[in-house]
This record gives sequence, structure tokens and C-alpha cells, in this order.
Amino acid sequence: MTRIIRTPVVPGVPVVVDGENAGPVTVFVDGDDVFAFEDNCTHHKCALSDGDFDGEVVVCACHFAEFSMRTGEVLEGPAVDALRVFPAKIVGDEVEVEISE
Amino acid sequence: MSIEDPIVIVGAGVAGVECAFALRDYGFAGRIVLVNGESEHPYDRPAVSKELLEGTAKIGDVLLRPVDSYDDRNIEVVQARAQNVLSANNEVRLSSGGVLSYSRLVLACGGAGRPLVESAPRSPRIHGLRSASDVEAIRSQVAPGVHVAIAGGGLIGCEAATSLRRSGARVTVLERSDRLLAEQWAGVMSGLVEHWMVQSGVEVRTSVTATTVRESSRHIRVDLAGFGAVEADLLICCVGTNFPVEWLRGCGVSASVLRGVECDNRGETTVPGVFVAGDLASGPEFANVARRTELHWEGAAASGRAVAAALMGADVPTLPVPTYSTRIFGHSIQFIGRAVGAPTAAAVGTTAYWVDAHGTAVGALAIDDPRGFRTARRTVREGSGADSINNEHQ
Repeated sequence: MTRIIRTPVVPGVPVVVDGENAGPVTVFVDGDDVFAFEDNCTHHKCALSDGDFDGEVVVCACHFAEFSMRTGEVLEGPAVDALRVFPAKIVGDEVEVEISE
Repeated sequence: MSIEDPIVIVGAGVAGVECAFALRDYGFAGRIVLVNGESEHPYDRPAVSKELLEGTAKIGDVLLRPVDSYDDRNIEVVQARAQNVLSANNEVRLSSGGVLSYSRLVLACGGAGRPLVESAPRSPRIHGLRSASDVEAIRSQVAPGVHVAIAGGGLIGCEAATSLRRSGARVTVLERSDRLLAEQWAGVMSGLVEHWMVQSGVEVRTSVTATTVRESSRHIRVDLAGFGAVEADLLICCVGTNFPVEWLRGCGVSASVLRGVECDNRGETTVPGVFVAGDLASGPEFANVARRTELHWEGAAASGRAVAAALMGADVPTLPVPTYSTRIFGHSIQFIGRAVGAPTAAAVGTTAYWVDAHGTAVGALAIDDPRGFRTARRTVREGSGADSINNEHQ
């Protein structure tokens, strides 16, 4: 089953939305790029929305694990497991995040 | 011994756990037995002085791997301490009374805390800070206003001061040299960290040498040569690492309390079939790249994987350029490479570089500058010169 979650576009600021069973989801809009991914770092569950956003990379504020916001791939440890990412696009003045369960 | 006997890994810290999982990644199909000397599931030791001590995380939040993953990868975890090695029989004797036969043995049981003074009494008020059980004991005694003396102003001591001050304790740091973090990062952070500590209400006493430690009914008293004494409710010793190798006596492995277990650049000890990984490893490769003064998580993890490669006859991967990161009183500190001599200017919000005589950036330290650190890390890893640093900063 797929659900669509909508949230206002706030460029350059991470917004955390409730993904229900998928847990908290961070939405980040940077120019034409829209990223949506699980907010909990796969290392020790820190909120990635508190991290640093640099291009397509999010850096966890706790232990500096780095993930590609586009693919979820771990770019730098200490995280081992990839981050779950969700398809997202801008529709009007909202971001639509597609969460499949 | 038979070929059916498992690879036995003694120690379930990051080196041992990474070695076990890497063996599976390399396709090892035989039995793997991981001997865990602690009562918790294998956890991330850097959390001991940080979030576990502060109480912002519980052990379940900082596990190295999900609990199920050991079963999933068919890694047998045995809760026991290894008591001795009979290398002639390829056997390890356990505290549980059991005996494990091994086809190959990996020693990955790390180091232990040094005592502040050899004559210090054993007391429930005196702790090391190496394990989750140390944290449990300390936290059961810490409350707002309780006075904690921390011996050692190195990284662990400074992290412990942060965690305990934030838990409301009154904290005094005792450091033998004339400044905090004297051996870290060529002393660059000493002034800033002392400033953060004092601002946060930590008493910092440098250039003090503990001569005796005594226990009274209510206090621990540490006598400081020529500078009086400090009385505290608790004493936490963060004054470096020893390697408890007495249990290896008689098995033929060359080892010492100060240096750990000798090995070649594949991690094999002086006894064929017995390997060593992580902090305990003292060999040419490990000594130069990731060890001795830098007993850090990443180096230990990489060394565990390197030993797995050696056991499987694969090419031993090069150990990564060492990195370390921490938080002290809310400030993030990230480091990569080597810190020899004077770096470029270090200030909050910037990244300082160490550049060698050929203009190559060999180390970098970022203070509250995660973006600067990403550039620095790339630069140091690639061994590119100072020119490219300047260009990227323009």
C-alpha cells in the first residue's frame, strides 16, 4: 500500500513529518531537488534533521555519519546500514512524499 | 584440532565483531564463535564516556549490530571470559568452565584502564571508565552536587567531565601535564577546551601529580605532590591503557602489558594460527597506521576486518587514515590524519590543517565546522597539497 504525505515547501530547512509506520520522515528542499528520508540515523537513531545539509549529503550531528539523501547510501561511517529514502516531488506549494508499506 | 573446529574470536568489542562479520562477508562458511566477556550485547565503546555516562542513551541504543544479526549470520556468541590458551592443543579455557577448540584464534580483547597510582585501594568509590558496567556503577553514585574527581585530562577525561557535569555533578579534573589534551592534536585544543570546561563550572587543575589515593569513610582523598589534596565522593581514572596479557602467559604469544600482543602486518602473532586485532595488536602495520597513541574505534574496526582478510587468504586492506570525532560541552571536534608540529590557525567554526614540508596536508581538525571537515577529510585522504586547500577556501 502506498500513502502520500503532503507538507508545505520550506526551501533549505529540514521539515520532519509523521510517516506513521515508517516513523518520522525528513523532507528537505534545495532548489529543484527534493529529498525525503527516514529521520532516524541508522547508527544510533539520532535525528538527521538536526544534522548538516551539504549538497546531496546529510551529516548526522551525533557521530558524523554521512548519507546520500538521494539514494540513502552510507558515504561515511560509523553507520553501517543504508538510510531508507522515499520518492518525493513538488506539487504546487507542497511536497508530496510517497510512502509504501 | 580439526578443520571442523571454529574460528574463535576472544572479545566482542568492535574489532572482534567486525572480524566475525567480515569473515562471513569473505565467504567463510565454517563455525565462528565470539567470546563476549561482558554481560551486555556487543556495544559501541565510544558511547561509554559520552551518551551512556550522561544517561542520554541506554545500552540498547548503542549496540554495534542488531541483536538478531548474529543469528542471521550464524555467529555464535558465548558469554564468558577467556582464562587461558593452550596453544599446543588449540584450546581456549573459559571462565564458565568450558573449553573451546579452535582451528584459528583471534585475540580481540582490547585494553584495560591504568590505575592512577599502583597503591590505590580497591574501593566502590574508585572507577575506571572502559565499559558499560563501569558506567552503571558510576551512575548509581552520581547525583546533583556529588563531587567527582576525574584523573586524567585526555580525551576520555574531558568527555567524562562533559557527561558528568551535565548530569549535575561537581567535577574536578586532575591533569599531570601543564594543560588538558596535551597529547591530542599537538595540544591545539588545550586552551579552548579548558575555557569551555571552566565556563561550564568544571574545576581544572593542571600540573598536579597524584602521589597517594586514600579512602576515608566519606571520601576519596587524592594527595597531589606539593599542591595539597583533593577530596571527592568519587574518583574516576582515565589515565591511559594497559594490556592485561597475563592470561596469555605460557601459550607462546609474545606480549607485554605496555604494548599488547606482537604481530606481523597480517595480524598473526608469534604463534601460527593465533591472530590479534584491535587495540591489543602491536605490529608494524597496526603500530604505524592506527595504533599506540591512537587507540580509536575506526582503527580497531578496520583491524578486525583486516585480520578477517588475512584468515581468508585475501589481500589485507590498507588501514584507513585515522579519524576521531567527539563533542565536548556541546562543541563538535573532528580530526583526521596526523598532527605533528604547528597547524594553521585553529578557531571555533573553522578547520585547521597540518601541512608537511612538501606542502601536503597530513592532518586536519575541525571545530564546529562539519562542512569544512568534509573538504579536509577528502584533502587529507587524497594527500593533496596545501594549494588545493587554499583554492577550495577561496
